[in-house]
Amino acid sequence: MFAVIIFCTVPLYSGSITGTVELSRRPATKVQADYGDRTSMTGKEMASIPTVVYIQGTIPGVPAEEKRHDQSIVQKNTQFAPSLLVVPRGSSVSFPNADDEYHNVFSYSKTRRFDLGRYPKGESKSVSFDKPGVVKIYCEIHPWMRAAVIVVDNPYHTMVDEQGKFTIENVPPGIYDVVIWNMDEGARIVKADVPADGEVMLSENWEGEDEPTVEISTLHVRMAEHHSDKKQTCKSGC
Amino acid sequence: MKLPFLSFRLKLFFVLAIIITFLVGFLYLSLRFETHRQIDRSVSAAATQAQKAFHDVETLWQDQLRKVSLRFTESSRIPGAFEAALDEEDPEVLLDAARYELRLAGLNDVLAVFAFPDGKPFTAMVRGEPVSWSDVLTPGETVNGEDLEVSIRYIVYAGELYAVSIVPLNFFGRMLGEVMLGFPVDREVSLQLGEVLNAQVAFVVNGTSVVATVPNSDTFLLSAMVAASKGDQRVIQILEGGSLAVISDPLPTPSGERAARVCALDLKETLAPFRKIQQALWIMGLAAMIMALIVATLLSRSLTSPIRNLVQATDRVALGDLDFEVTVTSRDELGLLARAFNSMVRGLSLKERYRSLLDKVVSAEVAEEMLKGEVFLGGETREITTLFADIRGFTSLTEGMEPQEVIAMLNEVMDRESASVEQEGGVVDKYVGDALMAVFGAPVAHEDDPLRAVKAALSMQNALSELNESRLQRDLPSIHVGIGVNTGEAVAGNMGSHRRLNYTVLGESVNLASRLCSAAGPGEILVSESTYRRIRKDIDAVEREAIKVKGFTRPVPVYSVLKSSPSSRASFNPTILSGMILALVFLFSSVQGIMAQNNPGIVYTSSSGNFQLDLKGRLSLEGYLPDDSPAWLVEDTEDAFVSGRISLYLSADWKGWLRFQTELRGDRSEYPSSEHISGRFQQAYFRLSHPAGRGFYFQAGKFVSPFGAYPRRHDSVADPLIRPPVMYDYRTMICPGFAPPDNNKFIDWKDRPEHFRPMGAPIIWAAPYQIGALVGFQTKRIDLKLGIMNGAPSAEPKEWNRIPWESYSPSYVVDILYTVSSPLKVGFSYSRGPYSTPAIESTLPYDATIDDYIQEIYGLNAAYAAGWTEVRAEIFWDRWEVPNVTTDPKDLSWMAEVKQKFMAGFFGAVRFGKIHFNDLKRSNGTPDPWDYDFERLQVGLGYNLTRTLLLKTEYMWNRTDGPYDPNDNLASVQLSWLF
Repeated sequence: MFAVIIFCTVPLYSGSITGTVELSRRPATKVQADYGDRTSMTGKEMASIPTVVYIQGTIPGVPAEEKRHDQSIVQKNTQFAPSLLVVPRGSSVSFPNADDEYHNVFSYSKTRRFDLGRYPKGESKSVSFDKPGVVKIYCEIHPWMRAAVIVVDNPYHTMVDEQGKFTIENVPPGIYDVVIWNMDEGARIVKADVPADGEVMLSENWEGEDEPTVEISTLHVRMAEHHSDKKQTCKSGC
Repeated sequence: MKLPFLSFRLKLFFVLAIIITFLVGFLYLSLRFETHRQIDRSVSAAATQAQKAFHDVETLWQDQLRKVSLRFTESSRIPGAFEAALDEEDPEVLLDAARYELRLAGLNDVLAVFAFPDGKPFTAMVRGEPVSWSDVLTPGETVNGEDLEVSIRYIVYAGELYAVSIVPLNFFGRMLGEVMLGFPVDREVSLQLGEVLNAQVAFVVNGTSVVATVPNSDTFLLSAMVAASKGDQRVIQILEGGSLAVISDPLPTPSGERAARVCALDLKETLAPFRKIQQALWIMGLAAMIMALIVATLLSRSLTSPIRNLVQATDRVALGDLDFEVTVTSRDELGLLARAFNSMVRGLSLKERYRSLLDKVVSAEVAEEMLKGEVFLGGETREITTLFADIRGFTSLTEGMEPQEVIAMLNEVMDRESASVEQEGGVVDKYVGDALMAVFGAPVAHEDDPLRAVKAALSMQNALSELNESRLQRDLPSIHVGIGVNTGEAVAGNMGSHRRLNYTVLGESVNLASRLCSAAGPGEILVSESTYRRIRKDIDAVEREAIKVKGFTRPVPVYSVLKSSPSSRASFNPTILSGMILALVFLFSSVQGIMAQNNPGIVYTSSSGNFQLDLKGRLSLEGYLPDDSPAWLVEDTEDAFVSGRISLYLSADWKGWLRFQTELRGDRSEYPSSEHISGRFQQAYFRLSHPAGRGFYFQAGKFVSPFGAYPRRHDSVADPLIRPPVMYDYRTMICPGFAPPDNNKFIDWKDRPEHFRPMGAPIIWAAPYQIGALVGFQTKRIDLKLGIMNGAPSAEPKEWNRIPWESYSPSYVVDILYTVSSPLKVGFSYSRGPYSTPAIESTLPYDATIDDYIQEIYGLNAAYAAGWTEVRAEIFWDRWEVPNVTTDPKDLSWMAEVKQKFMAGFFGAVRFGKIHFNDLKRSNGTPDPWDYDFERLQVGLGYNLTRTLLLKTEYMWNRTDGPYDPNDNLASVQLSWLF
């Protein structure tokens, strides 16, 4: 279960989106393989699966982040590390193989399809991500290995902490699609109307234009169903 | 129906045949039973084997599919691609990956369907090509792998059968969906399967064979296999008389389609040995039957030939031939029989010889007595009458004659004398030279022995006078015999010695008879007093002078028998004679008529045989019960009445050439009524014809008109019913005695009051007896008659006796009868002549004469007689010339009759007839029939009581549209007796 609680705070030109993601406890994903049982690391050691929150799309007037080419997702102990990486558009990520075994890193995601083929320990291949979106990455040889790269178009993104809290600050006012994403639950898009300052009002179903600021105390969003049941409150002034 | 005669040979053959049939039949049945069992066994074995083999193949597929599925599920590739495809709603990425994977695995023909977790298909691929999943599975279907074991199911896509298995695709703890992977069940598969099973294999889906090892040309086998595939369970069918087994097992289909795997097993090989045995059995059976036939023939011959010989021998014995022996051929029972037969014949033969010997020595009666076994010496005293007869002047008679002549003469006499004696029941005791001694009263006695003796004596004298007549003709001297007869007591018995006896009589009375004989003159019969006393009632005798007889004290009174005794008296009193003859005739005829032992009639044939007189009679009595009154054409009453007629037929025939026939009839007028009986000559004519009945013939006199087929049959045995058909029994409104004034009036005549109808002219009489002459020609097939008669067939009876052609022209008749084939005869008749009566000539208008009233008839008739059924039909087209009526009235009449004989002398008949009257035009032009159409239906039942006694019953329905008496039914019964 995954619940988001968003508070509205409206700093002037420092609108921020904050919230809490409730992460349910799950057993670690166990995957059977012909050659020995392995356990997917994701979800085992961490109390939660890495979850990212970001604003989808470009924001006008906000320069993009700098491209980075220094990030990598390492294949170590037959796991991807990190399993979730957020990179600005245009960055490239390398995938070094630090294991004694071969790995075959690939992705079918439309955002960026690639297949790095097999390469041995010490070798690395690099992939550039020129389109925004989610890229799910797997290893053909080790079915429990998975990672994801989120390619963002704006600097407004953050990881959800271990308690499930997140804050995105200095968000220019506007109405944004806020994506909360993790590997298990997929994406959850919530519309956030960030005021010039103060709290953001988040509402899933934007009823009308003259939507007043509503006090939102909690917002429950449930994944894995395409229904949502939520109660929304919004503070006035949003 | 008699059973056909079954000879011994045949019986033997039948017995053998039955035994063989039983044996062969039993063997055949057991064989059949075994064959069937074998078929069943083979087929179930084959079915099990098929199932097993197929199961093996399925397992193979399963393994392969599992491998592929594993390939799909174990690596992240396909799940990853699936996930991406789902995420982005882009199946292409998934199909790409899948295609790649399958190619890597070398599985190019695989069918793959990817579905959502709920089973709804997402995308599909066949042979590496993407296909719309809705082609593969019908919309609404789900790929459901509820039991997530990998098991084989079958689906059809694009006419191909696929063996598929469904695996769920889990990815990181989440079920992405299901993938259905399948191998095509192609020809190769079925061929492999077929090889394993040694059968033809076909996979049938929804009544169509999708893949089969059977070549398409073998439509019969294919259709048989398809037919067997209907059903939800295993079906085993045995076809082609047991040489083909079709086993069908249904296949599981997720979509619920009907799929089945059908194997066709050729059982010929399995059954070949059985068939061979069967054939051998048939041949053996046949051979055995032939053998049986031969054996029966040979055996029976050898068995029955001695019997047949014996039968022939008995025939010979029956014919009197006792002088032979039957050959004894064997030592068995038949040989015994033959030997017994021989000894029997010998015994018979011996007996016969003794018997004939005895007969020659003694009279038959004595011989009989002796043979009875009681031959003893001695005798008994009884009263007997002795007769002695000897030839007067024998010595002088035979002087100068050769001994043979003497013997011949003697035998002539003795013959007649012995015959006379034996005729009267006497016994010739002995011949003593020229004398004969006869005994009446021993060994068998009669009450009237004396009378018999005297009668014998008279008969002897008669016979002798006849003999003398003949001897005179031969210029030989007469022989005269004197006879003496005496009645008295004498001893009768066997006298002589044991070894040789003689049955004779002894006594004074015997001597006296002898003396009387000596005293009798030539041709005289002398009897004693005792005899005279016994015979005087019956025989006339005159007393003579008593004679002195040696040994008798007193002279013995003698009486001489007069030859004019009633038994030889021929009193030819004519009146008494004729009276007696008539009485005898009547007695004879009535007795024999009733007894019906012989043919009716009395026939007298002259001594030369050339002239024959035939007297027959017929008496018929009828009872009528009309429905109502009037009853047309029978008496005008509704009461029942009795009518009848008596006829005497006298015909004289000379050598078959010339024949004279008369009929004397007494009846109650022309149609049945209860009036007084009148008598007349109904027929009198002579006929000149070839005795054999061929060629020309000539007939003249008064006889039944030759026109039409019915008149000849009317009121005779040939007519099964009593009343005539309506076409011969109907009176129209055409009157022989009236002249209609014009068309209108004539047409109106049909509505005249009732009593006018009997005055009308009959269309034709049932049997018109007219004066005329005819010439005929007769062959085997044709009988042609050309006649001139003194009136038309509808002329009134009072005109029948008119001397021909006095006042008007004759009428002409042509009649041809043709025998098409033995049962079928057809005839044509034509007649034309005046129908009216000269009596009305004076009343006729203008210059009309009787000759203006002409009737012309054309007739056709046919008769068919086969077995007990007779069918007859007649049709007339009839035209009347009627002065004052501008168009000749015409009518068409016909009848059809069926007579059916039943058993025991019964017969039934049905006759239907109709008259149709044509239209005439009234003055205003309206057509109107000139009389009302008439229909008659007759149904009758008859019974031949005896050959001369016939009973007929009939019921008649008459119907007409006319105003009077439209329904006129009549019940009749007739009894006729031919004598």
